[in-house]
Amino acid sequence: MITVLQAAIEGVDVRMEYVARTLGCSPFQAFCRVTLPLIRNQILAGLILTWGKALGEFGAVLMLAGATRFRTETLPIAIFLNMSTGDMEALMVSATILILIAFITLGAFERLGIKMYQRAPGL
Amino acid sequence: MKVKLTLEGIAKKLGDFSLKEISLEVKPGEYFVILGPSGAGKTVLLEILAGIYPPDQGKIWLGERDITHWPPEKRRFGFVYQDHALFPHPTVEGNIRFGLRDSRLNPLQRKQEIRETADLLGIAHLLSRQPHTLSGGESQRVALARALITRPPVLLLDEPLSSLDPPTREILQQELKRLHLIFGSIFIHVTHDFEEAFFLGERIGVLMGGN
Repeated sequence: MITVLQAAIEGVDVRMEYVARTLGCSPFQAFCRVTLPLIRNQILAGLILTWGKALGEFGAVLMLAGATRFRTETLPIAIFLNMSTGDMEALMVSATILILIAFITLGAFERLGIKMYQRAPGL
Repeated sequence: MKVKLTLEGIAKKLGDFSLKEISLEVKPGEYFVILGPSGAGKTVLLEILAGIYPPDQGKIWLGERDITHWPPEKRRFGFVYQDHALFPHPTVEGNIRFGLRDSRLNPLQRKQEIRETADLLGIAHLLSRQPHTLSGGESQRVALARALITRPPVLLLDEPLSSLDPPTREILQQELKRLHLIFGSIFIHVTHDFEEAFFLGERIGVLMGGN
């Protein structure tokens, strides 16, 4: 997330912030009013990547918290437990929920993100 | 506000480049052109004037006030870059309105002010457009409107015409002269074009290798 944001901020023409400052903005206001809207897509992408990684995390959860039903049962752990116990119905439900979350997240990104035609060439 | 702008021994070192003791007095309401080749330090000088970089030494006076350590938001000098640096996310109207954010005008007066400035620059029909749909000449007019709407005491123009085709450049040269007469602020225009400098400048300063 930090790497994505750093690259995004570095990609914005710093002179736009300079112009904003000559028009009365403090450095923080110039960042919020000029840079932040321009990197909205990258912020969203970074958030979704981070969230997706956290949502799908399996190994770290298993190592640190174990796989206990109703206690440390994240969705990937639930899929693992259901598969281990042969509960195919619960397995399908868990997998479907995970797939639905992925689609909803992508849909939200499409809606909230800046469309290509709204962006200036080169940005 | 008609005041003179004075630079006293301004020096700045940026990496390998250094601007060496620039002293200059620009008269109230004067159109001053700084002529120099690429890499002479013209843009750095303008950015120092705007308050973006502090000078390593020397002083800048606006009338009787020492503004050397004033940040850009306090100086409120207009700045127009060569490639316009329009904000791509708001419309043309949003770009022009940007400088009026903290003005005391009510929304109706603001709208009126934007309309008047746009009329003056001949861009009233472009107000609802997105910046990336504009031509070079139109973008430059929008950048000028955005800078001029705040009535800056000094307008800094960094090679504003060099990315335009010759006919548009000629038209905009005339426009700049007209705007200078209307607004009466100090215009400091940097260029590497002799003809442009002689056409526009009431006085011309030459900057070469930071001198």
